[in-house]
Amino acid sequence: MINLKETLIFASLLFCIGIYGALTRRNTIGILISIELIFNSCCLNFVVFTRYYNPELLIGDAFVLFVISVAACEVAIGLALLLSIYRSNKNISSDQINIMKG
Amino acid sequence: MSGKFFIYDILMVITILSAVGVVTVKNIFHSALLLGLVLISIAMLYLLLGAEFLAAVQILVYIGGILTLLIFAIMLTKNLTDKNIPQTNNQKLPSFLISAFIFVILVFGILKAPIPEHIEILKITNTSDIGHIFFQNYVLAFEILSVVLLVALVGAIVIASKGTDHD
Repeated sequence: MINLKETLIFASLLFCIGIYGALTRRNTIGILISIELIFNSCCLNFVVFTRYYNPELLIGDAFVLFVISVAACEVAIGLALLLSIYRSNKNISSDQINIMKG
Repeated sequence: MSGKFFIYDILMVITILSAVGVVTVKNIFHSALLLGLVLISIAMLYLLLGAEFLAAVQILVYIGGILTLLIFAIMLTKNLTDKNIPQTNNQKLPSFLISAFIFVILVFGILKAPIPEHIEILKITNTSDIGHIFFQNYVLAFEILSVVLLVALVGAIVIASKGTDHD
């Protein structure tokens, strides 16, 4: 017995905390961490809605596995880019990364 | 109120408090550790929702892989956790207003939606069902995902390695 609406409100609160973090962090690793919060809230929504909508065919669970794999790819690529920028720039604050600016 | 229901609420409170900590603490290393607490709590929520395979994958991939990678990146970029470097930009109030606006809209939609208040968790184990879905309904997506993982990891190695200078 799970409270569906309470879980959905919890997931949206987690989503909004993640958005706040992604908008206010200066460190780019902090932005990546906030994006992980957003991914987790979406995954929780998928799981809960699968339990409600079609508990016999767990498509939401399979989709959460896809989301987790793509999140792993995203973090690997993002951190590689950050290390590369850090090596040339000695700084990864999001307002200091302007090497592409003309 | 049953015990399982009580634990579910406690886990939600822990997750929200540590998520607020993730976005507000000064030290980015502490922020990563609090993210680990959030991920563990959400894995426990998956367990209570009857998704035990997802809980295991969450702990293995997120805490074993992604969080370790984040902590390594924090340690490799060392002069960022200094006390006198500001960790947030000066857009705090607009960001708070934007996220609060989105939250109000979402809560309004959820409360108006024609969905039941409570749901029952019918199945307890479902790992074989997920295997069936992967290899019957979504086998093409599964194969493409494996290629995406391979390309992403090779690309990450190429980007992060020193690189030969051509001049």
